[in-house]
Amino acid sequence: MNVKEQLEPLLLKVQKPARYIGGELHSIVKDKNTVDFRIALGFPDTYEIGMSHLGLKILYDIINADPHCWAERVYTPWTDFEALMREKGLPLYGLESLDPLSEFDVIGFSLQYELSYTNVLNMLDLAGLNPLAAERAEDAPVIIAGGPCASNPEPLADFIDLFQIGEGEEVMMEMIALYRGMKADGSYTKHEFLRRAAQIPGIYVPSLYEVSYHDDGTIAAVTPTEGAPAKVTKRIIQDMSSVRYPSTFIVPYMETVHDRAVLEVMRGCIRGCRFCQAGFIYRPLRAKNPDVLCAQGKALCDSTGYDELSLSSLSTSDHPQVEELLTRMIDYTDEKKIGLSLPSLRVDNFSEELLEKVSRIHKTGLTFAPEAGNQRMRNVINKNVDEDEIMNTCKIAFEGGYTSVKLYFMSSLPTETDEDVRDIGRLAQRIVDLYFSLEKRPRKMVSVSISVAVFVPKCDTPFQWVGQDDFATIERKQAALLDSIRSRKISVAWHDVHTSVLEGVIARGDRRVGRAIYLAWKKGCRLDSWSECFDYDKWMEAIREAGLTVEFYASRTRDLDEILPWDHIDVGVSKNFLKREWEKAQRAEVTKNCREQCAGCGASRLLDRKDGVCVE
Amino acid sequence: MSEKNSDQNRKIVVIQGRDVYEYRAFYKKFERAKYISHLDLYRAIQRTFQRANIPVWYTEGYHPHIYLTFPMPIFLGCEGVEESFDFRTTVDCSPSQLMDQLNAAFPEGIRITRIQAPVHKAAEITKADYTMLFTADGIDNPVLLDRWNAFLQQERIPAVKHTKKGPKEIDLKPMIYSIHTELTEKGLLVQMQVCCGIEQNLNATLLSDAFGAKEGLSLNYHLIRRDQMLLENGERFS
Ligand code: SF4
Repeated sequence: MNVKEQLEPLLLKVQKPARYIGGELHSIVKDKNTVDFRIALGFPDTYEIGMSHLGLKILYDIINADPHCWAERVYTPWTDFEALMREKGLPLYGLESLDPLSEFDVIGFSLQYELSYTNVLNMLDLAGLNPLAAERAEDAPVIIAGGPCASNPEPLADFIDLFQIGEGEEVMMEMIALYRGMKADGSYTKHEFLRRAAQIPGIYVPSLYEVSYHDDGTIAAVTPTEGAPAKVTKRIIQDMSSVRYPSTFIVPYMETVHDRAVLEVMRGCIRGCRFCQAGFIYRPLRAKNPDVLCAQGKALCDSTGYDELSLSSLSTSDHPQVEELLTRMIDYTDEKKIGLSLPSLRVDNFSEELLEKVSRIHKTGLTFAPEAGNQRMRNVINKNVDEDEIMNTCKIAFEGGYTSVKLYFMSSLPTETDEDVRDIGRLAQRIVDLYFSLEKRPRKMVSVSISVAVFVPKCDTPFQWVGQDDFATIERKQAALLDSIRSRKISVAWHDVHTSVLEGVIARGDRRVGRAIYLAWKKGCRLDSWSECFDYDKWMEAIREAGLTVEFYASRTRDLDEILPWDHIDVGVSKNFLKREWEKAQRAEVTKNCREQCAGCGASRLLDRKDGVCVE
Repeated sequence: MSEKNSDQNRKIVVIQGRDVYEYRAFYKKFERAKYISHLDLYRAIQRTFQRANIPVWYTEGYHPHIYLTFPMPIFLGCEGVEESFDFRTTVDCSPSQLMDQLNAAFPEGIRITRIQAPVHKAAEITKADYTMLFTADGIDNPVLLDRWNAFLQQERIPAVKHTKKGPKEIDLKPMIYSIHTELTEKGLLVQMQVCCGIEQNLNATLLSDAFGAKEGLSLNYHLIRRDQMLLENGERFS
């Protein structure tokens, strides 16, 4: 019986079987006898989430463009299917071939959030592989990882053989070339491969680094061995307009989270919001030109049949030719009856004609992210928007017929007091008041919903040294906010405190946190970002049993001179720049965006172009 | 909306003064496509129309979408050989050309077998033929057959149906028109004609799942297939 026959009766016993069977339009099936390199691109979460992720679509396309290589997909099975797989002894398999993952050359994981780490371990275990790199057999696949969380790879150092730091298009193919070459000339052993891979810029092999600690638990030294570089510098694509982009996406049989065509407009962000890791680790800004974007968007829609196209970037309004881009896109999508979605769009300085076009397609609801409730706090986090802009945007929206606005905030930000948190409620109230003061308002009830995330300090940001609010403080601030809300027209949604605390531990963790992740997984933790699966108590037990504390990793403020676990990973922005930014934050001073004035963050070093300018 | 000179290829309806051409496509749903739910199937077919670049008719209104109707939704896990949907075009097209264009654009497991003008109304469907093949964990097929036959011979076959208003107990017995089970090497091969329609509908697995639940068995389905849908007089829906 082949895997497919073995699978079939099982699939009708689980929810959403289309997650597990492959065969979707544009999925790539090759004859395994014609390829000499097979990689499973894993996303450590469910199919619906993993299928929505752009980075893996890009790698899938690039790798499969090489006739010698075959890239497949694999996602985390939901608990019902996992139980059946374990009961029937069915190993985790690639969705294209349905072959067991243990037969692959390489298994890769995209690391998008810390709470997916136990899924990495669980997927390796379901594949019949030991999650611990040191215990895995010589002939087991090489386990690699990349993605934003790889900017602090240390918590996964025990499990992953090799990390790719930064943008993957080029480094992935260089790594594959090395692997295939060594297999072909017979020089391959896993150790030798890893040793040589560590010489490729952007590749970090954790087993080649020794970490020693001071008595107080902080890091004394990180020492490379076997010729590995002292610092691993992230890779970037120099020219976004000429890099390969998928001309089609796999069209799933079932609905996924972002079931639509996605066009990557640019990488990097000029804004420098101090809490935002993405804003730093993707620097510098590199935009695609509108001709390329229009051609790519059309190719995607034509080949997939999607009736929705989304422009993706950290801040689409900062595209250097945003007006031209949007005008041309809207004309195309209107004609084809395709919905255009424009997340992260600021409309402040658009021409009237464009604004009219945008608002015509953008009726679904208005979202806005002031992030903090008063100007001092917005200066601390360098969110350059003032209350007049917020009010003005809401006014335009209300007068244009909107009756509900959604506002995103963060609490537990550095230097934040309870009064600062109450200002979130007060700002929401002023928006409600604004609504009722307008002559031209719609004849309906207004609703202002505010969503408040708990700030978690991340590496490679100016807040990387900051102690996160402890559990009790976060709860006290939540109570203060709720108390400041006096109107039934305002609704509040919170992020869960427990997951924020855990995220805080892992995000700035060192290698020893790997032990806690391992123990938590052993206790049955997985799918931790799903509230129905998350078990905080088990995690706390695991952290304790690993000899660690939440205090040390999450709520401790680091000394500016401390060696941080990720100091040997260079994402472009310099530590000195981050220190300067942290000092300015404490004085509530803002920094101009890259287009107004370069702040000398260091990321321009990554560009081949050596005129020192990142932004046109 | 009114009708005019239709033929066996297509029906012509006039919508807001414009001629619109209406077709009924019969298709097979098999292999991995059987795991598509009805809603996802609807989306998959809409996208196929987009890819195939067919001058398809969109509904009017604020959110125009491709007009598509299905006589009786087919449930997740069920294959189909005589399934159909209706669609409209703004240009008079040849059915065979439409079929080729669509088939070239469909994902694996969905294939159109013919396109014609709609003959019957969906509401005329009252019954359907199904074929199922199943085994059960930890029990030999002959024993399974005995228990299945005993189950079917009950006076009443109570089952729980999940409706919008919550779970509801119904009797399946009167909804079964004929049933024949054969013992094969691969398991129990069941052929049955059951009630199928907008008013009253029996999904084939509701019966076998009720059997599994009653006997405490975990059934393994190797095949579930709707073979055809019929009118009250026994004529095949077309
Ligand atoms: S070097 Fe200057 S312009 Fe370039 S990303 Fe850094 S701050 Fe911005």
